Amino acid sequence: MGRFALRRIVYGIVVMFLVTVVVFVTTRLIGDPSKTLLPLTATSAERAHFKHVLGLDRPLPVQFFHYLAGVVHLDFGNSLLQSRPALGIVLERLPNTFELVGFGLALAVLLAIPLGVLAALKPGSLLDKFTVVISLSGLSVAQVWLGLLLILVFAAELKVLPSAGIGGFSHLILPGVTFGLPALGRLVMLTRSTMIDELNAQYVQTARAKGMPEWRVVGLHALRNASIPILTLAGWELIRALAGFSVVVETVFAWPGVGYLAFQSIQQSDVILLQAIVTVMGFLIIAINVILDVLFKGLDRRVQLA
Amino acid sequence: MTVRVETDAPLAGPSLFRRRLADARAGLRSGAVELLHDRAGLFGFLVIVILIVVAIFAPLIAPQDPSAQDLLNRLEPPFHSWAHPLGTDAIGRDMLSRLIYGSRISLEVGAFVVAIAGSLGTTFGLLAGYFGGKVDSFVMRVVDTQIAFPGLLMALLIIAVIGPSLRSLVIVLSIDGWMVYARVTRGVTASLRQEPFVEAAELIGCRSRRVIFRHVLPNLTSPVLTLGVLEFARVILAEAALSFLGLGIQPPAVSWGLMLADGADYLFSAWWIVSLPGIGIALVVLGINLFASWLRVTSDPHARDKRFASGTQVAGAVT
Repeated sequence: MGRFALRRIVYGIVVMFLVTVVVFVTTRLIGDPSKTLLPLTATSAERAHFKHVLGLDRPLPVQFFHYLAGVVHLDFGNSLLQSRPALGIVLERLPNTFELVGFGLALAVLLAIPLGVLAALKPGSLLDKFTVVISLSGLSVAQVWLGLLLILVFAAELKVLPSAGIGGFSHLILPGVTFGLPALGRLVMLTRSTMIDELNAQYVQTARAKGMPEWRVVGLHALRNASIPILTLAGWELIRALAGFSVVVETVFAWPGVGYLAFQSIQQSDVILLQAIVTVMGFLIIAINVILDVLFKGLDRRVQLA
Repeated sequence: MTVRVETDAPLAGPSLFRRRLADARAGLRSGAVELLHDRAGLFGFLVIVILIVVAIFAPLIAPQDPSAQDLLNRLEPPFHSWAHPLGTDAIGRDMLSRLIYGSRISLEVGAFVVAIAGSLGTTFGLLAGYFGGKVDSFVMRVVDTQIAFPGLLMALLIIAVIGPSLRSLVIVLSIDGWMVYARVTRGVTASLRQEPFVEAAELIGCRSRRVIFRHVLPNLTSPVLTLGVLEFARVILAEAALSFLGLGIQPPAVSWGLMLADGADYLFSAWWIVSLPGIGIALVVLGINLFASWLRVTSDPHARDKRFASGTQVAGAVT
């Protein structure tokens, strides 16, 4: 167990290094910041000065070494437009993203498990069909459209909820639902199919045969065995959101999180800020990945990880 | 996954061909009969067929040029006039024609990405699963590492650097999507490798190439096809999201994602500009999901057993 955790951590650090390399290669080799950032009318002297200030005129290995040293010291340089450390800007926005993702995901998990279990108890029943239709629709709509639709109904027509920005709990509802509904759809479908499998297993028949109350059979035995894949998917939804899927929802609702920051930095061609965002979020999801792997290893004795 | 045992008996060419053709016909016929009995699957199949027909024959079907502006009838709501059955947008362009032309981009991006990511992923997964050992651990290491990457953010970074276009979109979504195919193909291939018919083929001295193309590849068709159909839905949603952010398709091209972005500015005055492409995307993605789950259940013997045992016709899990 300890050795497994250690190996996962070392692997995580290797992946973090690779993320750093890929970000460097993408921004320095494929793109030329002096072309994207300066206006077309800039003179070649201005371009040279700009490159010198950013250190872009030095040989690539030297640039990479400096960049890597910066990343290790968590120094990503100054944002080109705001002229202050990019890391600070990202960290300011991070709690807002956590708030949105946490609320949406909690909503999805807390609703998905009871819905999925109830649907699995009577496959083919009216409730089951209803649940399946809702879930399939939830995971089939474009998140952008879902967000705009909710704004249209609840902010424009009914005027009960705010459409954009951050504030009290009321600001959280629409973006949270937009973020949570597709996740809810996937979680319900998985809970339902896993529970159907578990309820057909022999240990469930044995438990019923010896007269165990149904709530105990379902709630204690079947759900416990079904919980590993469900929790794995929930963890994956969290990683997916942090890996960039919150960009769309945050942009639709002008929610001041990291995703909206990424959108803004692309629009302003602030490459330094964007590479700080990608690197920080990359490190974060790698860390979450490692933690979840180790946790699940502890949770499920059957997991055999190489 | 159906395990099909190929006989290597030396048969006369034409008769073998004719038998194959008959087999394929019988397979198609029984598939069609099953599809007719599954309402959800049939719905999905019809949606896909309609999408393809509309996209291919867009110039013949669309009543107007998608970029022609009718400035006298700007922001006309749907069902108000015969000239614009689904209304017009902010500069008087016909919504119906734009929806029809927009389906082309969805189909184009989806087909390119599924073809590129699918063939890359299947090739690497096949090599990893068949040869095992070092090849396997190397390929799977690459797959694991890339899965741990912040995929969409990396895609945004790449597009921001190389500039948004149809080509960038296809490149980025293909890079982001090949691992799924590699994982699935590798799993199926590794288990096929243990099957007696593959061992027998190796024992009688078939070269690796023959074993892979003749014995392993045909058995991969069903899982890879199902995955490809599902991934198609993912690509359509991703195109919408990236085009909305201004990082996908660029005007004057027409795409459903771009229409969503256009409509967002007029959300409070013209609900239909956002709603119509959104409904289009939702219908297509739902149809693809339903068809894929029918395909999976039909082509997977285990899933078939389960369906008959539970007696339900409701589509299985789409994960």
